[in-house]
Amino acid sequence: MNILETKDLSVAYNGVPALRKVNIKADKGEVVSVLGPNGAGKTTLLKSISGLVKCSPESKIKFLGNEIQNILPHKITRMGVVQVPEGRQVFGDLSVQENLEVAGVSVGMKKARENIKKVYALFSELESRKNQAAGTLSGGEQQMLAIGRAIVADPVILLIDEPSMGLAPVIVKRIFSTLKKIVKESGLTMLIVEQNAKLSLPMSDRVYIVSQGKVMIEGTVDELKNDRRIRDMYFGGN
Amino acid sequence: MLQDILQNIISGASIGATYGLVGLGVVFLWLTISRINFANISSAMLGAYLFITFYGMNLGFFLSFVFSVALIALYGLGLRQFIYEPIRKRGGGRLEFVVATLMLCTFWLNLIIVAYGALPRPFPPVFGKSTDFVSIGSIKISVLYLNIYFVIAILMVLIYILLNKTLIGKSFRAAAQNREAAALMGINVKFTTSLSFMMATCVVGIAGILLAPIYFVSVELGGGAIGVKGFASAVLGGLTNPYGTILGGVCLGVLENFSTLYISSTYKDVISFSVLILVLIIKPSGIFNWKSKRV
Repeated sequence: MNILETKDLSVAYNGVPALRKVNIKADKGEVVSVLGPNGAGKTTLLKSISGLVKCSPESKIKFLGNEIQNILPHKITRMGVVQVPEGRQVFGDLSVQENLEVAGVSVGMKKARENIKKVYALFSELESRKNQAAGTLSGGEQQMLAIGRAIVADPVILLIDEPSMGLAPVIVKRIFSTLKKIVKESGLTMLIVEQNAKLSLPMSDRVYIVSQGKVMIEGTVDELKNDRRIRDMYFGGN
Repeated sequence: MLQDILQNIISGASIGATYGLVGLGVVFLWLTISRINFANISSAMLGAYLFITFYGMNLGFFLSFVFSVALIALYGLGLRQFIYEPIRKRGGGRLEFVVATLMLCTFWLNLIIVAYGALPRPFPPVFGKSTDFVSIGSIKISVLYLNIYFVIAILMVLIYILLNKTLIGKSFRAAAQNREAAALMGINVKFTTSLSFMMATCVVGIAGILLAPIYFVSVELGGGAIGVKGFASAVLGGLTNPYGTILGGVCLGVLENFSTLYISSTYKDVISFSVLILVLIIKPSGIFNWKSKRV
């Protein structure tokens, strides 16, 4: 089943185009990767899906068949499209527990409490730092919190922006293995933007490669692995 | 001697705490929309005039207080709807907001003069007469000041509970730190912004009612020195720390009383504003701002 679909999605910042007629889709239970160089429009793509940036009038974004391109960000989140923003953006002055509680605003107290338990089971280090201000956590812990926060909001589709940004390889590994676990156990759909293809491809079903605001190449991971251009660009040759 | 000092600390701190409340109005708005409302102090004047109007209708203290605070909250909502939003939608920035609220401040002053006259009106002795004293040992404390402490203490406890124990308050703090991330978590930032406008006008309105027995119900409550002192308290709290703002106000009030006692009452405003300028030069992030990390 089709969870998310964009049709001719275009975004411009003060007249400068950032996305040009982008068509992507994600089916239920799929992990979809978006790859591309800096400034390709990957973050803009996620932001426009979440409603943080306005897209051009002819653009369409469909979630579970409903058009969501003109809906306010918090309502899109409440529908089940939840984003883990680039650079984590946890609420630094709030405690870890409060960060998670706040994310439960849309799902009701009872469900939120259940989800928070789930998050603590996934990331035990968060539970031991429950009452600590989120701003005092390490980068890796903040990324775990950012992902945990999104899980509490009960996503149907999770949009993740650069989860490896600025983190040590060991922690990145741990975060990706947890993401895999989440997908496997909950069967949610995931759209993941990541520069490091080696991390995101092994867990992905399909890939979009964007450059200069356009989708250049798309296909399943297996197809693209055999494509020489892609191999050279994203898998370090050989 | 010691008695004088203690009495001055107590009375100074209570007036200072009301300056702090005025400062809270600045802080609540700064936290969410990063704008300074130059009509902040108007809420104090409106609060006091609304209170005596309701009190004059024989509604009693409690009802008059509740009605005037409720109306002030509604006014906060209007401020957002008719001043902030139109400016924002037309692409206006800080300067436009400053000019608009400055004009609004003048508007309210003149409206009050038209409606109630320019002469100060006495405030009913609802917080006790200034001649009533409670003696603790050799120190005499005015009942009025005790009541001011009492009201502010209750208010601060309520604000603390709202901000730290309720989901609405936590969402408010989250949105104050990062609007975008808050929206991504399903928080309605329009609602939290409205809440901040209402909280801002409410605390200042209450401050106006508390200051009225000292300054009378006059247009002095709606501009000039008190507004700037409230702003100074907010600066001491770094514009972001509500509790630091109250503490800043208390210090300002005490300092003011001591300058009256040891130097001259003519200089008390000069001295408190010098403090403001010094803080802005030496530590612009505020000296009572212990939580200033923003992520």
